[in-house]
Amino acid sequence: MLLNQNQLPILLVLIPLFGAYLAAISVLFKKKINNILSLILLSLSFFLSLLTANHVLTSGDISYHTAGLQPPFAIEIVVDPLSALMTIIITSLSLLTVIYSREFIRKELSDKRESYYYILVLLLTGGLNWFVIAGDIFNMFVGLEILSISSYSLIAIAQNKEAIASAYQYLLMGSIGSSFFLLGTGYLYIMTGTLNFADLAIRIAQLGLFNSEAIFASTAFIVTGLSIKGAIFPLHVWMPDAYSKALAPICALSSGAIIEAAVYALIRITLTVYGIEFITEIVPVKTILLWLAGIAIIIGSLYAISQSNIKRMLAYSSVSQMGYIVMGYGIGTQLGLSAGILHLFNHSIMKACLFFAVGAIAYKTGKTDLYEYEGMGDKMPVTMMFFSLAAISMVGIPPTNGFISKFYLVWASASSTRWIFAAIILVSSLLNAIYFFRIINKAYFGGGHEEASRDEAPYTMLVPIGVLAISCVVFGLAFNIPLSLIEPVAEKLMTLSLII
Amino acid sequence: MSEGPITKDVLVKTVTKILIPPIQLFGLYVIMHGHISPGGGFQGGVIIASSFILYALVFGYREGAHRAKLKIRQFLEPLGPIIFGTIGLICILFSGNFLQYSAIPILANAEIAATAISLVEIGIGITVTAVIFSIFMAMGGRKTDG
Amino acid sequence: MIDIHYIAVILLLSIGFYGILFKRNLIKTIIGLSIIEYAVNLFLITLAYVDGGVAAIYTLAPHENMVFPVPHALVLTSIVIGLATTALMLGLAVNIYQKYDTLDTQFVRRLKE
Repeated sequence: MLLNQNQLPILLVLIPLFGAYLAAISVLFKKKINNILSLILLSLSFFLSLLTANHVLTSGDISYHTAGLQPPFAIEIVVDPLSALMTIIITSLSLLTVIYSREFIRKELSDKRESYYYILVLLLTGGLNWFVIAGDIFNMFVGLEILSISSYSLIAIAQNKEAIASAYQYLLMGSIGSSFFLLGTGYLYIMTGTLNFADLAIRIAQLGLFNSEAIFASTAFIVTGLSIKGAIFPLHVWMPDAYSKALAPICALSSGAIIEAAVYALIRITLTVYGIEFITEIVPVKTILLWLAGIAIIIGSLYAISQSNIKRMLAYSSVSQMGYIVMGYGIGTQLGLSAGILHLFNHSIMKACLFFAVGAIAYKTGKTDLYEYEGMGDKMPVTMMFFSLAAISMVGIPPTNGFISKFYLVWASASSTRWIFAAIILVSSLLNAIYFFRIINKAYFGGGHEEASRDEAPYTMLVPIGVLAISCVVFGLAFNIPLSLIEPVAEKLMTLSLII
Repeated sequence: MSEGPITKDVLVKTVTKILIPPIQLFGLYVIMHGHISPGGGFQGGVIIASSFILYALVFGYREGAHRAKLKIRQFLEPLGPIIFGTIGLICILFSGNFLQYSAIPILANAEIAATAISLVEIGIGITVTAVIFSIFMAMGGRKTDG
Repeated sequence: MIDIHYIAVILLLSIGFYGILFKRNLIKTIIGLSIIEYAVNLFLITLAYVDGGVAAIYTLAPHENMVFPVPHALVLTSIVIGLATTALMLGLAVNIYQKYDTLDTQFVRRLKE
């Protein structure tokens, strides 16, 4: 084998990023090659991410140093089971997005924009992978910027005028978030003299900086910056506008991977750099986020009920689902953290499936509004079936994966005697049921049978939807597969105590 | 921006023609010294691109687009990252880490490895020149949808 | 001693936020955002400053008294990123002007259905 197993992490970043530039050159010589090229490259990265996960589980975390130097000087890449799980989510979703986009984009965009689209998807994947496996905070920032800039462009690439305006709004908020993140990085660097996550944690503890205002400021800036990127409740305002106008596959990728990655980074930075005691007792980040998450779950669901545009509704649903993830983190026990991250994994499957299905329906019929879905169950039975499966999963009915992670969340909040949050989850499941069953009801029992003739979406679109919908059930039964990657890290993060 | 030259002033045109070579030379100097002194691909690339922008401003959009054609720019834009990535990948093929020059037998000597770093800087310089000029042309000449 | 650089950073940040929050012209919001980015850059450079220190360049510096090199590397990267962001924003602003025939955010923000 050409490849040493230790080279896996850098290839996860390098293949999509390098591939993006390769695609930019090769499109000059052969038109329409980008779809195939990105398909090959992303399949390769998906395969590599599985290999990485296998390697991490069997022989421990990988720490990779570029240029053969040692860590404070080299760029360090750290892959532990959790970041391996994130790369699997990212590469699988972008692979499915590219498969899905083959027909979809050909209809929606001109040839020229189509080739740009695939380049941007590759860049986005590379940036995301870099973001989740970076071992120091500044490389995380660079990854964050690569993924943000490509996602702004991907939202603006849909040539309607609302998409451009909403991309502008997203860019404005996102850039402020990035600036905050960089400010926080500056504070951390000047107090500790390092940027590496492991070093930062050790030096903050050694130098006894837990009472320093600069560290408080860095916490505030980094948490706020990442909350903007992760659409955490009061800072979610860019998301509904952007998602309701962007192309459906981009919504799926963004909702399934980008905001998830930002929340993942929030969890990782706060727990590894600052440590659990610091964010619980000294700066109550966790408590604040917990209550915000509680509000987000209810408000997001209520907003979702009041929408008639389905993509907008799904965007508000994402606000409330991000609330679940943050709530699991905010509960602050190991069980809660595992539950939150498990929900992160499950949410990316369910929400991507829903966006894909809605996109397929819009592709075939041009219908985007709830009240136009009458008879859709007869018109596009397979798509609608997968949609319903994912919707049931969102509501949390067994044996789907949504049920498992909600069950874990309720269990976690009950076992730490925070009954109010258990109640919030149950109430919001009811609210979820209202807005999802409304659609299913409309599609299957809403009339319009006579005019309906079967007109199914093409196979390239059905396959990704089907794969995701079936994984909803598969991971509802085999939930120990993601948990086997999550639990060791959750345990490590929660027991990591450096306050001396 | 208008299609034709924005000025008919001989003075401006002559001074521009005289100024452009020193600007580009300075840009090359900054690129080549990037690995050992202040400078580097990005800064030098911006300086060279500014000479192109000056040319397009004085002699008009069409003349600028003619001097640096869209096709050529599109080819040059991804070139730098590709050079960078290729060098990194070669290191991996020689069973070193990414960008570990010492893994490549020829580059074991530090002096020669410095040359390889210059190669990366030149690639970045080419990319930055092409990108900055393309951004300018895309904003300036909306008719061509660059 | 009051460090005047940090006051400058705070002032620049406030000016930038003022531009973003209260100006209705898109170009002015872009200028505001750029000012915020440069405030952050100035902040990082100020952090790196050592009284009487020389630039951390291999050929010139005596080893004992250099400014911190790492923030300079961060600022270089952040300037490049800022260039990309600003270019993208201006591109979007040009597109918005073409589609809406205005740069006034009041007329652009009509997204709600």
